[in-house]
Amino acid sequence: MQDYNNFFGEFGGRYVAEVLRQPLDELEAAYLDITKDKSFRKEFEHYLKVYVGRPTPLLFAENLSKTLGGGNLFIKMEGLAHTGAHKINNALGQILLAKRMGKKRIIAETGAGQHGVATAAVCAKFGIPCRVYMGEVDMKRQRPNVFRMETFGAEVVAVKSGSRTLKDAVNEALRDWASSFDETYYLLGSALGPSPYPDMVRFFQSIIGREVKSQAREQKVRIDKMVACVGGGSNAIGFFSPFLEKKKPHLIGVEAGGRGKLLGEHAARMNNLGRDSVVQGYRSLFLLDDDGQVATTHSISAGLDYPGIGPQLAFCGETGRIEFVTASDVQALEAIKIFARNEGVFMALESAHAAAYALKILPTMKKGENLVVNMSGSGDKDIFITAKELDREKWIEFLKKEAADE
Amino acid sequence: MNKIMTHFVVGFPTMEKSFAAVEAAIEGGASFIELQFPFSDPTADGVLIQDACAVALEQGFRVADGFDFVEKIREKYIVPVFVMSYAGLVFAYGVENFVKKAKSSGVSGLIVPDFPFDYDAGLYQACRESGVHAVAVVLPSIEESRLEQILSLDQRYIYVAIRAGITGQESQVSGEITAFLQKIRRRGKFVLAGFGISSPQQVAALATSCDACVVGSAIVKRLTESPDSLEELKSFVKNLSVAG
Repeated sequence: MQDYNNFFGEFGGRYVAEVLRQPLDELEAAYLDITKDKSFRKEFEHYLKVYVGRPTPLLFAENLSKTLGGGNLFIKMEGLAHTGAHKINNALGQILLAKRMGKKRIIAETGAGQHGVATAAVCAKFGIPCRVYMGEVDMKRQRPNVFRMETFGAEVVAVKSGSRTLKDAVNEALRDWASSFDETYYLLGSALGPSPYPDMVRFFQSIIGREVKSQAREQKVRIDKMVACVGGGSNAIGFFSPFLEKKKPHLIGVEAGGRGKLLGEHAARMNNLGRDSVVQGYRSLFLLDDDGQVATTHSISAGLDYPGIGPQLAFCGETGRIEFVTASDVQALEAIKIFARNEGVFMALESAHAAAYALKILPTMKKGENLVVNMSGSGDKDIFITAKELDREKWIEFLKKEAADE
Repeated sequence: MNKIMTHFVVGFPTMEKSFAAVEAAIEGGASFIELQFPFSDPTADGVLIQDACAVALEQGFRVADGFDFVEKIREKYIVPVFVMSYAGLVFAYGVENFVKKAKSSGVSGLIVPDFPFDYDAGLYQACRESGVHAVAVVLPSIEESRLEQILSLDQRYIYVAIRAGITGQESQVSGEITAFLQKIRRRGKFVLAGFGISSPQQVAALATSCDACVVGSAIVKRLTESPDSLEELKSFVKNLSVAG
């Protein structure tokens, strides 16, 4: 187990108003407690197995490997975890922690809605009331997830400030927490925000990487490259976690290239696009305008549409341990089609960014080399976006008919 | 007379109108002016100030405009000006440069809530070097040992947020709060009390326990609802300063 980190190089930290200091100190103490507590680990692992459905498979993508030539492609099937994405690992870990802390209410932010759905599910399971903040724009583009959260009994609150996306949902959750922390636990969904969140979220998500490591060993596969998409970066940091301290394999994070290179057209922070700043309680690289204001971002995937990157990932980018690249909206959509047709795997729009890059480099790899791509989520939630893009006429016709029948 | 610190968002409702509003407050008897430099993500603010910041940013507010604004006030008035903003804006400008520019523009002190003294990216040191007050924000619920650390900093001003939460919700002034204010005051600090203060009654209840009361959202609310009623703003400030 890695030691607890408050800073990653100069990134990270706990840059919060005094009012949030006390709840974060309290959270840090509780988190450090459970990392040493065997009974907690046992409970966590129990529910990971029986509720989340772990381990998720490491699938050999035989057809694509054959067709593309070059290396062998493997897919870590996180999208098969309960509620359809890796987000449940962290939601489960934190709800168990919240329970230990005696908290009576949960708040969360969500972008694509996967973290919101995971949180709503564990709140229903463990009987704690839950409120999820979600940007109005995201509510529109991820409508099925709003319905799922509400079905689990969560209250979904539309955030109408700022860009009305994930960043603004985080702001609103922080505002709520500033007056509710006595009874309320803030269940943050990505490896970002003030410490101890980046470290804690990685801790809960590292199950992904640990499984990959042991599954690769069982399948007698030496991993040469690992590819994950990076919004805030919780799937990536969890997937990469057991390998960060080593020199191999080659780790690649794929950011949202969106629809262009100009500020506002993408959500790629690395490779000198983001600037060092302090936003939402942590120091990292952010997309800013020339006066230091947080810029608007764009990605077809709500989960990658965020101006900051988790501090540990920013640090690993700086040291060179992780290489960062981008995939565009169009490339992500193309990758969804290719993985669906060839492997029977329906990627989430977020994961499809990683998949797109994997498709690009696989043919350049040597025979016998192995690449693992993390399918962080399943694409079921995206059908209102993907169907419109990939099969427009039929889909619009269906929607019209549905509306008319009502 | 009670000392009142009036809080404005620079550039709200417009640059000109915010300047006129500051003048009205000074004429009404404000002892301190607090200017918020709008930031895209004001996490400690309620809806009123969030919206005001968004309006100012939409109209193109830039940090340089904020400092010009301070200079313009200081050319005309002797009233001390404090600048409040968020860590992101200060950091992106460069902490040292921000403090130096503040000093040369005539700023007395800086209030950056998400730069507490132990996560300040060098703000306190830069302030000491430039002779600008770095104002720590504390709450009555703060842990004793942490309060001690803050009180032992060589800074004259302390901003007490009299309750938890964000700006703009009405606060109740309790005996617990006034006792806390007095405790800090006895340590030789100049105590600014704020958060949810909008009425002469609240000011009267706080006035003997602190050195100045901060009125923020109540002013932004007035400027939101009737941006041109400067006479009313002036008498609002006057009523607060004579309350008790």
